[in-house]
Amino acid sequence: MTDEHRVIEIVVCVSPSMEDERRHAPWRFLYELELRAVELARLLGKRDDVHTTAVSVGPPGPTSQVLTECLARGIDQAVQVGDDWVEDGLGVAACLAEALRPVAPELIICAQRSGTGAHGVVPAALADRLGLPMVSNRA
Amino acid sequence: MTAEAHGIWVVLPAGVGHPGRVIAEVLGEAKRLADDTGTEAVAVSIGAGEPDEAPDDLASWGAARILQCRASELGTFHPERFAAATAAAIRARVPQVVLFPGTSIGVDLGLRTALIMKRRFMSGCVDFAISDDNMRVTRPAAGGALQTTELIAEAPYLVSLIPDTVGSALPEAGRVAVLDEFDCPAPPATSLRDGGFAPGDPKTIDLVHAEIIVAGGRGAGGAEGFAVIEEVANLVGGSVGASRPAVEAGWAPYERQVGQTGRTVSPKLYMACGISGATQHLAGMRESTTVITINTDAAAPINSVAKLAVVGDVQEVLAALARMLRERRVARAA
Repeated sequence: MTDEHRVIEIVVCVSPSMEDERRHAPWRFLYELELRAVELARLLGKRDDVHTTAVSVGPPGPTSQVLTECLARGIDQAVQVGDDWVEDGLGVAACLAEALRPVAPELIICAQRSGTGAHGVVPAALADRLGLPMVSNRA
Repeated sequence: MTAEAHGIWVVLPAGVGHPGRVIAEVLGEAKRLADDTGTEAVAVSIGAGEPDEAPDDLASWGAARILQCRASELGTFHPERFAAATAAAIRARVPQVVLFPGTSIGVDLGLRTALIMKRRFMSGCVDFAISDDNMRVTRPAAGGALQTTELIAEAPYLVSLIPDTVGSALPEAGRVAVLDEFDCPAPPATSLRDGGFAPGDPKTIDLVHAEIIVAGGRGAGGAEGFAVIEEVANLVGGSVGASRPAVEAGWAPYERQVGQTGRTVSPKLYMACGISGATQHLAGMRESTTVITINTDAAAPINSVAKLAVVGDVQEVLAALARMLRERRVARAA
């Protein structure tokens, strides 16, 4: 592929949907802050040379619910990682890092907090694992 | 590490403007833990210069010691450099607990510090208890429907407290804190470059920070009136505000509401358009430097705080003002 046809890969990380979230909004699986992350990825993905991927770590059911919503919202591709709940943010970051290393995305977008743990550990730990700089608290 | 670990730290990055109430709350919690374990609460300031908070304030909130971790290379707040400095200070002095303010910057600093130290960071806690060889933290889960309790096995325990959960104790004047210093090693090269501060967009910033506010009330003439208010606000580089009746009528969103049940603002210029000036509204904008009012009623209470009171129809006056501002802009551009 020549440089003019280079495709910029942008990844957005989303947490699997939880029963609890669904109770409040049965039509929606993405947690509110993550919705913004997905929307940012979609807007950036409007360019022809940008390809967007949503990634979620967790059991097939809840991850496919949330990833389907990402696709419906305009993300190009969805990748599900793992087959069970990974309780801890550091564990989630480790899974994401392994999945994303071969992809070598230009930009990884995470919500400030996820819908599951909501401790905000994943982005920093993921950046640390991949040896990438992290810019946090973007508006 | 546990045996010699000593002190309950509160890490305060200098120059980020943390609200006093947040610092007071974390220091109060640090003092409680220190009293429980027979050690001292330490306010740890990280930065190139003095801490943001006065030593007397830090002492009155519960700090028995103020540790200044200084290095001129630290400059203004930089997440990577400040995290490296914090980790260096923790390694050198070995505190038992390190509390980070539960603000976005505090949590970010805690996360990065923990990753440098290869430890776990427990963010978003609402309660702590220390025993001989572990620390128990309580955190909300599942959107606050549940709470989880977790144990951290090895000190120093790195944690953050969600602001406004335990509340701050009354400050005790007369307490004195020991001043202490730590020379930070020069921070490592970083991957993030500081692009400096950029002013916020007046259209979207919190009214609390707005320098010019053009606010409308019941007499503003509905959504149409607010369109003119917005135009004037844009022309003068200001933010749109609203009184409670205007918000309740759906002419402006709640975050634009000024007054007792909305934002308390103190801009340099406050233009009250069609606002009568109920006590509740006055309470929210009394501190404005200059108040200009536009109102059909010359006896409206808002005029008591006005430097200039225009008696007339809001839409007419604002339309004329907008026209004048546009013409002036064109003239200036020519």
